[in-house]
Amino acid sequence: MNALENLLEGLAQAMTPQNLLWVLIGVTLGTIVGILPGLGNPAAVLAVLLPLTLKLPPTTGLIMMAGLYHGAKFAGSTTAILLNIPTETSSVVLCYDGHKLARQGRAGPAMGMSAISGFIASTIGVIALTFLAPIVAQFAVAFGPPEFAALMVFGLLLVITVTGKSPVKGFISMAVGLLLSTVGVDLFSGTERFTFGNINLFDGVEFLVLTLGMFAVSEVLINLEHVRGKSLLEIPKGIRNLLPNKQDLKECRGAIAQGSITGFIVGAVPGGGSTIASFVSYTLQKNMSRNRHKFGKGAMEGVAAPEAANNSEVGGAMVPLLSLGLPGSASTAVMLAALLLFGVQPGPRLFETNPEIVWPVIASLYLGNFALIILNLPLIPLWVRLLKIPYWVLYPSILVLAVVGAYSVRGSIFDIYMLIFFSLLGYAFRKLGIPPTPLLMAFVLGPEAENAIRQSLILSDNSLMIFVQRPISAIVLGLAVLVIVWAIYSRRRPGALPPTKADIQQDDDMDELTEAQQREAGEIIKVDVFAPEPSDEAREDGRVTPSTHSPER
Amino acid sequence: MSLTTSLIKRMAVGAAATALVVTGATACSGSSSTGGDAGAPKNVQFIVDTGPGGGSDLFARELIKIARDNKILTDNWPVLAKPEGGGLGAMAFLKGKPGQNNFISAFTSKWIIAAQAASSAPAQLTDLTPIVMLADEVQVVAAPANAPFNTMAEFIEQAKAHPGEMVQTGGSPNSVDNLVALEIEKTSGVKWKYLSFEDGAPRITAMLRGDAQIDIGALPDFADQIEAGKLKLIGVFSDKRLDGYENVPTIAEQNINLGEFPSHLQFRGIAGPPKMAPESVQFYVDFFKKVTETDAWKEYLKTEGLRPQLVTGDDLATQIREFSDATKPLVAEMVAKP
Repeated sequence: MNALENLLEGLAQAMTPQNLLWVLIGVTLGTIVGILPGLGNPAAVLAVLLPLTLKLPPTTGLIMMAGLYHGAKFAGSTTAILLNIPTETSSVVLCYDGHKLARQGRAGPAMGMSAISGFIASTIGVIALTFLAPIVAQFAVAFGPPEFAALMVFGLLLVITVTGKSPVKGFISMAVGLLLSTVGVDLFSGTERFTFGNINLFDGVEFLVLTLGMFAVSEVLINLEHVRGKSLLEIPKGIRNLLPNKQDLKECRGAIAQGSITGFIVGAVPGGGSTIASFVSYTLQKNMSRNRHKFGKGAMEGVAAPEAANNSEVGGAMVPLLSLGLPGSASTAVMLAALLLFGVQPGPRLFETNPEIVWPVIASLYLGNFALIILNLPLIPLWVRLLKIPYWVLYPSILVLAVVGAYSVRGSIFDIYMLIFFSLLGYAFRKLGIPPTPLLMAFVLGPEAENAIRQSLILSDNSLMIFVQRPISAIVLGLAVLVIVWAIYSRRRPGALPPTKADIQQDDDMDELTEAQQREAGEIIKVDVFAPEPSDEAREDGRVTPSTHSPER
Repeated sequence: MSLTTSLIKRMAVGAAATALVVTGATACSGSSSTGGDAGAPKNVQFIVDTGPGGGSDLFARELIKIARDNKILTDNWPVLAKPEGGGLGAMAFLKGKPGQNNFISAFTSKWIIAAQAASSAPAQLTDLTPIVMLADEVQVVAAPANAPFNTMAEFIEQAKAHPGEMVQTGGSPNSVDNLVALEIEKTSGVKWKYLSFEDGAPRITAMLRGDAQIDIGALPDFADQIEAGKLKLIGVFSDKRLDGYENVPTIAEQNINLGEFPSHLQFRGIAGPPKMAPESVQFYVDFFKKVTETDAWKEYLKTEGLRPQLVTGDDLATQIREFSDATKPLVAEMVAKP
């Protein structure tokens, strides 16, 4: 196979000791810079650190950049899992299960799973890119507004499945998310929507500000109510407990495969992107999993699937970039910048005219991922020690990071006020037992769905038939109908009683903890730093012994 | 058209500039020494309407870099982003600094439209002191290579034969590519649809897929696709044909009536706060003249698909007024009837 030979040749060119050294430096630097919210966005990391690579020979520069990119991505996952702070949009999904796992003392395995599934997925992504690029490119072009609208409707339907046992509260959350997403100047009419004449709202609500408020800050607020003199989380001893075990990997096989495929497809569609890829893959996995009751409470699959999608999305996004000269999403910024270093304009003819450049580029991106895994797996124990920081240091640090992050996304003071607003909203949600997840998903998917539906209706002169006349959108909508049928069926299954009030009260699915339960859970999970280490048995099943004595400060 | 694509493509250049500016900012301690001119403002701050990596941000940073490389500027001018509302934030900021000669900003023709479209615009370009026009982005009309028309005039004929079926793709309806199309629709009495996409890539795939027939934008947005034989140019908004595309007639040659529209559709310039002292205006005019004379600047404009256009004083005011007069009724119509 010609493509495979080319890829191997590219890898061979990329693998020199000097290049390997630079890729490790790149991963390290990327991780450090990526820890900061706002800067965690891989494109921003590149913009800051690109000049460093300009002094190197092109291949080496490229490889270092690939390292930077993967380092920044991993840093985003790390802060989401450990601290509930998403530093980039595609790692938001890790705040659900990743952080829950961390609270159960499984931060290390969650981070390990994130790295491993990311590595496997990008392998699959590169292979798919190598062999399927021409076919997928045609598919990407065929994917227009009606097809995208169908996909987004499908996604929004899946959101309903993460609403937990109280559909009303889920719908409240979703409605608020949709409402927030409409703020700004409308793309089609230029009309202002919910801006109250304030120019700071013209460009809409910044997603990262929303998530920092809803997750990071409101979590600090909730915890402040009942934490005194305790560290945030406990850390098990021994490397054995810091990496995913065989059972985890076995459980997540399906999730990684699903995430890789979903991520690749969403990445290949212009306008897709890693945030949508990770959300769709997470919700799909929740519906497909046998352990779906664990989702939102710390399911390893809830880390594996979105992280796989997040990484194979890069391979998918490179399809339209390399074969059409069109970037599928922001993640391909790295590739574009990299190609420019070679003095090459990516374009429809790149594969034919410059194969000697394309393959080392793909190979180096892959190498960056490889470097990440060999560098960061051993470092996970070190990262996890972040959690040993006592709350009176950690909480102020989280607040500072959140404020800096909110400001640096757009360089706007107004966004800090927005952060305060969303922190209070997130706090209220937690107090009222409303899950924040549907809000965020609706916020991301809602505008995409709205734009695509309106674009379709412009094309069809307001005829809804356009959604079933075009084959791809008809198929996707058919799948959506199947999801509804399945959801109804699984709720009405014989033996499954409709949820009672007590069920809803006890429902701790997706952050729906009542105050009392939060406190209880907090006491179970949080362990005095000075208290004796929990017993092995307690660690084995992911539970942690409550501390018997906790010195008040 | 502010394509994400082209923004990203420009990132490599911009990042280099960023580093230069960052290191420069830490090195210099705030004292100003701008070539020793009398009346030179101290601690100049360069306001832009996009965040780091955005169009105006890169434009400003490149400008400062070229000025420093050519020793026209010996200290550093920090770039300050006021990205709210596509120029509205930057204009409001400058309006709040009347007479403070150390603030300048990189404006674009979008600022004029932004102020007309917003019901609550806190400021407009005429509130400020326009200093100099620097460049003009030539707009072109692209179409799928297999389209059954080869000129904009033929497209209009097609649209006349199939009313309401032809589709133009682009960004916001407040962008100049839509406004100029609305004007052509008015003067020709032919209607076609406008399909908005936030990013540039979906606009091009819409044409490749056959969902849209034309797209008005800058040449760099389409150049790759034209080279690959997937798109073709069917018109140029300019007084002369483009280098390398000599067979593509200009819009004027095709006898298409642009109504009130001036030939400059997308321009970039520099403006200061209201009530800027005349000697400061003169200082900036001289400064930017020197920058535009450098080879590095000419090379930069070429790679960005920009044409040098140095206009100052009354001519500048006239150009802004002409553009503003042309867009105002179109924007008003759109706001009234979305």
